[in-house]
Amino acid sequence: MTSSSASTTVSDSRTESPSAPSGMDWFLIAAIAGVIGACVNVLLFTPSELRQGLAQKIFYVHVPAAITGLYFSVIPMAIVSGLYLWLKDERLDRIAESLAEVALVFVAVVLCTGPFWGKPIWGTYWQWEARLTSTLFLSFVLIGYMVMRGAIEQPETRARLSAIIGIMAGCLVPFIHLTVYMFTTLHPMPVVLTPNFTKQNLSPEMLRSFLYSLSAFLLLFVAMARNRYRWATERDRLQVLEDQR
Amino acid sequence: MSPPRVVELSYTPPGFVRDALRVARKDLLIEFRTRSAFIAAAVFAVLSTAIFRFTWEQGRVSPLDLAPGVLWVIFTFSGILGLHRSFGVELADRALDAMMASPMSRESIFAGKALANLAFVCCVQALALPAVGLFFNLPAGQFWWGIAGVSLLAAIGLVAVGTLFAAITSNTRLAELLLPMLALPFFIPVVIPAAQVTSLLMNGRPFAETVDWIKLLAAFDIVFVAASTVAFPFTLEE
Amino acid sequence: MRIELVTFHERQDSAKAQVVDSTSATTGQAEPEFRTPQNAGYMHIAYIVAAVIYGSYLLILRRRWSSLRQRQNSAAPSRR
Repeated sequence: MTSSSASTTVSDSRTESPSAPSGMDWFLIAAIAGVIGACVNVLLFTPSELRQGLAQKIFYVHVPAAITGLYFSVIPMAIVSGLYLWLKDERLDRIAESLAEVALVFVAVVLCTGPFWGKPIWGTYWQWEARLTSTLFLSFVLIGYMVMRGAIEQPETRARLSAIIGIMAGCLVPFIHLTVYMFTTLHPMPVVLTPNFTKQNLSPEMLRSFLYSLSAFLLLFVAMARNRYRWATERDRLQVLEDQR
Repeated sequence: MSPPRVVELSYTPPGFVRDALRVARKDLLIEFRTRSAFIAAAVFAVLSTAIFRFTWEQGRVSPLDLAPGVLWVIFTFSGILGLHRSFGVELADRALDAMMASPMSRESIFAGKALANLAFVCCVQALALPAVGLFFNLPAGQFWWGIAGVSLLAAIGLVAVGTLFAAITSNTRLAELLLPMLALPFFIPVVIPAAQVTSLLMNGRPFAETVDWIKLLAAFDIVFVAASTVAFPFTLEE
Repeated sequence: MRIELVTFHERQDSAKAQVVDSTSATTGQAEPEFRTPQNAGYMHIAYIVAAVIYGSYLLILRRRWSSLRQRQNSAAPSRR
């Protein structure tokens, strides 16, 4: 069964245009350019916020990364994992694997840029607040997912068990958010500034910059995941060839 | 020639509860005979309590502030000690294949293992609760029943998820690392409400204040038990 | 998602008046710095950190592709 689906993917990657021998992924390059453009726009052409000063500009990187990494990765990953268990198509497993890895990168950015915004605004690098805690636990789950994938050698077993973790992660994340949200409302935190509170106070230019940033990071996510997926396809194709020898 | 006498073997038809209890009884018998995991968990519980007790500055921190956290740290990690064993024990002689070949449904195998783990965790909790109470000079009172109740409720959720992950990781290379690594993020939504309720009860708050947390805990239990039962058959190879 | 964020904001806004005073009381830290020049450093560090993380991942992707190409070339040179 594995070999027949592998031959399906071999013929698929022959009919679709493979990446050029020099390895240029123009979509990814365009996405990177878009993100750089968004950052330049934020740094040079967007007004600063009055109270927070320049540190508020971290918002334009931190929040899009959070929205992309949390909402646009975990839920698709859970859906794709469920589809894999139903359809047993190994391409779905590769999609889930790519989504998880790129999501981990974005979550790492969120966790690393957040404290630098928190320190000048909240006075502290970390708070056990709803979004931060959810993000931290999501990173644990994603790390566990990647470690487990590395620990299993048989492709079919690896795909099957990863799919279960993916689905459980998809069940888990909204619930973690709910728990910790309840936690902060039952025991209200004294410091209630969140990264999102400025959205209501955004001037039109800020809102425009934010939307530009958000779409740039979304595009970057899609481009990275696509690149990663194509690499995974080539890697598996090569693995089949090497096994046949 | 007379037909050969047919010996009636006692045959009980497969039934979910009966099979689950059968599997649970098998696991508990094995554990009872060797007692290895239980002793490990018990030693861990008592030792951690002692360590927390000796590092506790009695004047600075009230025992009612410290004890709930200590209790839940012990429950969580000693639970993990027992979980790995639940599928590790099947690896010898490929006993899991034999169970899969039997007419038992996969879900009843899961339920049986989860029940055995639940009994294990409850025994450890029964040991740890008095230990913490003694070490930290906690007052006696009605609230201990509440704490025992919430411990049982949380144990259900922990065991459901833990058994599933034990099944997933048992055959992998880094099983002893992977099980805590994967399971702990999923334990958090169970432990947070349970620890909150424990803390509220220990501090003498009325039961009405804990109801929201208990509802959340029960909701997680239902979700985790359902999701784990549905996901378990996929962990077994066809 | 958007609705949920707005609701969260409304809760925070009602408590906003207490924010500045309670911060130092709870965290025991110095008053948060709202002055503009000091916060530029944080912004620079954050952007650099983000660039390093994304850049490292892109480098990892690139290195994976090149090692894959090497393996492909050594495995089946006639196919290239």
